[in-house]
Order: sequence, then C-alpha cells, then structure tokens
Amino acid sequence: MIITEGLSKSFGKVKALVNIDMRAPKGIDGLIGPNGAGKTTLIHILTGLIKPDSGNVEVMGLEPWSKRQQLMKMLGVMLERPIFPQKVSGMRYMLHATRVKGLPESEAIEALREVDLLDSSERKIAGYSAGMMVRLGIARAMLGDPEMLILDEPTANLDPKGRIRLLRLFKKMHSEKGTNFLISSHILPELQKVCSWVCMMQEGKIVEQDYVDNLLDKYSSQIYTIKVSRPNELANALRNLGLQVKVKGNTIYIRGEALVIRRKVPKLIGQTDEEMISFHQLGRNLENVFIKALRRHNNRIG
Amino acid sequence: MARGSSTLEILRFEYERTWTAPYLGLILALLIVSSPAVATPLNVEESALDLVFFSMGSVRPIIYNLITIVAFTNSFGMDIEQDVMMGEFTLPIKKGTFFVLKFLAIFLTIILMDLVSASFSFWLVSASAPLIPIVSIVLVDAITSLLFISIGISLSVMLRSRFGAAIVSLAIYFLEEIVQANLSLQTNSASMSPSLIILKLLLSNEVTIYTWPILLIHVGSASALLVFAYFFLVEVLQLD
Repeated sequence: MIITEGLSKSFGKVKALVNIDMRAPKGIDGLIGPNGAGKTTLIHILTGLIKPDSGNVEVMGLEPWSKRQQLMKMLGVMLERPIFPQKVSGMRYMLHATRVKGLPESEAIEALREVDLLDSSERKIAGYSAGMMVRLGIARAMLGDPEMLILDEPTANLDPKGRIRLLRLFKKMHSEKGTNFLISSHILPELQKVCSWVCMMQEGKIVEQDYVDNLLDKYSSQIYTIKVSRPNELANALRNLGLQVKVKGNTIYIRGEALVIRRKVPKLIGQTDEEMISFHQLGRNLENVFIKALRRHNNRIG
Repeated sequence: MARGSSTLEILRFEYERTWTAPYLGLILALLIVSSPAVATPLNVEESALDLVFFSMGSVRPIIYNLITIVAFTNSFGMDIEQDVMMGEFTLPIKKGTFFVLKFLAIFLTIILMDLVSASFSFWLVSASAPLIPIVSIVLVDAITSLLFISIGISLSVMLRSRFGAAIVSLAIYFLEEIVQANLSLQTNSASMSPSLIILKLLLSNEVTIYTWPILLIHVGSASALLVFAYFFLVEVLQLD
C-alpha cells in the first residue's frame, strides 16, 4: 500500500527524515513516535505536499508529488492542526469539498453525521472548538469512501467518548468497506486497539516496523500472570508441565515458552473447576515494545 | 461531476469566503469617495476625456492600488500563512488551477468594482455613463496595477508573509510615483504617470519614448513575475 525507499528530507540543518524504508501493508496501520519524530513530515511527503530530498515513494502505486491530484481522488487526508476557512459554516465547507471531489452533496451530510457534527454544521468554523475542527477534518477525509485514509493525530483534542467513537468508526469502515488507514499518533494504547501493523519512528528514523502481534511477541516479557480463586492447586499443576511458577496472593506468575503457556494453560484451567479472573502476558503493549525497540535501536547504532 | 463544475465551485467558494458584503461595500465606498468626479462636481463642464485625465491625477489611483495590493497579498498570503492552502491541496485540486482561479476571482471583483465606481462617478457629474471613458479608466487601472499585484503575489508566496508582501508592493508603488514626479520636473513634461501614458496610447494612439518602457515594466515584467509566482507555487512551494 505504501512503499518508501531511502527517503530523506531536511529543513535547513534539521534532518527531518533519514533514509526511511517503509513497507506498510493494507489494513489499519499506525505511525508511532514522539513529537519531532518525523511522522508529520512523512505524512506530508506521502500526500504530495512536500517533496523528498532523495528516495522513492509510492502510495497505492502512485508517486505523490507528481501525481498528487490523481492520488487525492483515492485518498482521504486529515493533517495535524487542520485549518479551514474561518468565515464559512462547517456545512458549506463540506459541500465545497464534495463538489470539488465530484460527489453527491448527501455525502457531506452523512460524513458530518458520522463524526457527530451535523447539529453544529450551520455554525461558522471560526466558532468551532479544537475538537470540532478535528472532527470536521475527519469528516472531510471520509468523503466519498476513499480507498485509504491518512490521518495525522486524529484523536488529538477529542474527549474520551469522542476517541472511542472514532476508533470504532475506523474499525467499522475497515471491516465493512475495506478502507485502509495510516494513523499517526503518539497515544500508543489507542493504536494498539485498532492497528494491525505499526511503524515506530524516532528522530527521523524508523526504529521498528512490523505487524502488531509480531512486535508484541518479539518484545514482550516471557512472564504471564493468571489470577484465579485458588492459586496453589493450579500452580502445582503448572509446575508439573515444567514451567517456572511463583504465587503471590491469588496471582500466579509463570515463566516459560510463550507457545506452551498460551496453548496449555487455558486448557489446564478448563480441566479444573478453577474460576479464572484474568490471564495476560506482562508488558504485552505497544508502549513496552516502543521502549525496548528504541533501546535496541540505540544500542545498534552505538 | 464534470471538471468544469469543480472549477466553478472553487471560484464560487473563493468569492464566498473572501468577498463578504461589508468588505465589498467598504472598497466600493472608498473608490467612490476618492473619485474626483464626486469631490469636484463642477468638472461637469469639462469634456469626458479631460475628466478621465483629471481622474488619473487624483487620489483615486492611490486608493485603487492600495486596495488592490491589500486584496491580493491578504488573500494569497493569508492562505499560505494559515495553512488553508495546505488543506485545499489535500483535495483533488491542481495547484495551478487554484492559483489561476484565485487570481481571477480577486482581479475580476476589483475590476467590477472599479467599473461600478467609475460609472457612478460619471453619472453623478454628468447624469450619463459614457462607455469609452469609463472602460478606459478601468482598463488603465487594471494594466497599471498588474505590476504591484504581481509583486504582491510573488512576495506573499515566497515570503509567506502578507504584511511583508503588502509593504514591499506599496513601497514600489510610491517609489515609482516619486521617480515619475522627478522625471516630470527634470524633463518639464506635464506628467510621466504610467496611467496617463497608457491612457494616451489607448485613447489617442499617442506613443512617446516612455510608452514602451512603461509597457515593458507594467505589462512585460508584471506578466513574467506572475508566471514566476505560478511556477513557484506549483513546482517549488512546499507547504510544511
């Protein structure tokens, strides 16, 4: 879906992107990194707004800088800090976007409804809050059911309810319409909920890129915890499987091969009359993956 | 939707978001008030041609050029400064189409307002609206202002500062005024105003040694600058 090779971009003395080789597959992809990592610059290059100093870029088979207009027919984009003409209403702006894209005007109403902005669509954009601006940007990006949406910090400035609703909408669009996404964010738990693939960036370089499950397997600890009502009985059964086990309160800590634990432990619990309260792998989250991947990357480059 | 419809929409949206009624009213009022025909109704005795020449030497060109420079630099500069243009370019709009339509929307509006104010001024003085003098005024205004417009657009695109672009364009306008006043004094000529020189060329086909340099500066270099601004926006300008 997105391929970059040796992509570099500098702004004066600041190296915004250094030799980026990225291969983002179809699906919901995430672009992770702290502020200043180069995510926005990469998105601007992917959307043809800026030209790379060197390297090749391909988004859905098109080179963005020279084929920007063609690409924008297949792509929905929401940039970070979306800025709109202030003197027009949200509805007027959406009608403008639908007409320029050559879509029926009903698309504007539908998109505004999806982002919960239809009731305030007749208000001038100047009176919109930051969260409303973001929602308007997402509504515009969604127009015409594009094959792919590139969204830069889409959940910034949204309240928790708005975030959850939006993430659900992305998942729904992907499962029902097959829409692909590239979502940039530095809120990692959010991305973990929706993304199947992520690219991690730091100081203009790619630290790691892979499917989320692969990364979680690669970087998560080999320790699992199980909370059960009577831990001692289960702990003994686990020891018999050759696993290292420690009990603290009603929590059992297990160390061993991930595959063995994942296959055998739930089965073992099923055979007993234990009530399982929780079962999870310690550190199985993108935050942990990012920290470890970054440490590894820094060690590698010395 | 056909390509023509989306072009029309870009033009319509540009009008709607920029040319609000109070803004248009203010500009029109300024143009009418600055017209000598309103300030000196006794000029009714003079011929239409004299009135046109008189109009050219009044405060009107200063107001007209000031409005034109501010309108162009504000529109282009603000869109670039505030990243509005960046948002527009995430729609399937050609950068070149956007530039041309934006230019046309502003230029045609100003020309139309100039036409209305000139017609109104003439009507106030002579109770008639003679076509040739009115069209001549509007045409000459448009041609002479092209230089300051092109400087304004180029600088607002390159500097990304509407204030800086407006100041430089105005400075060049006044510099030209000073130079032509000095030239008039030194050569003992009646007036070296570019507007008058172009007007004489249009109305009486009068060509002096200053005609071609003035045309070269106000039409040739202005067009070259506009083409440069166009390519800068389309090929060079990176909105980041």
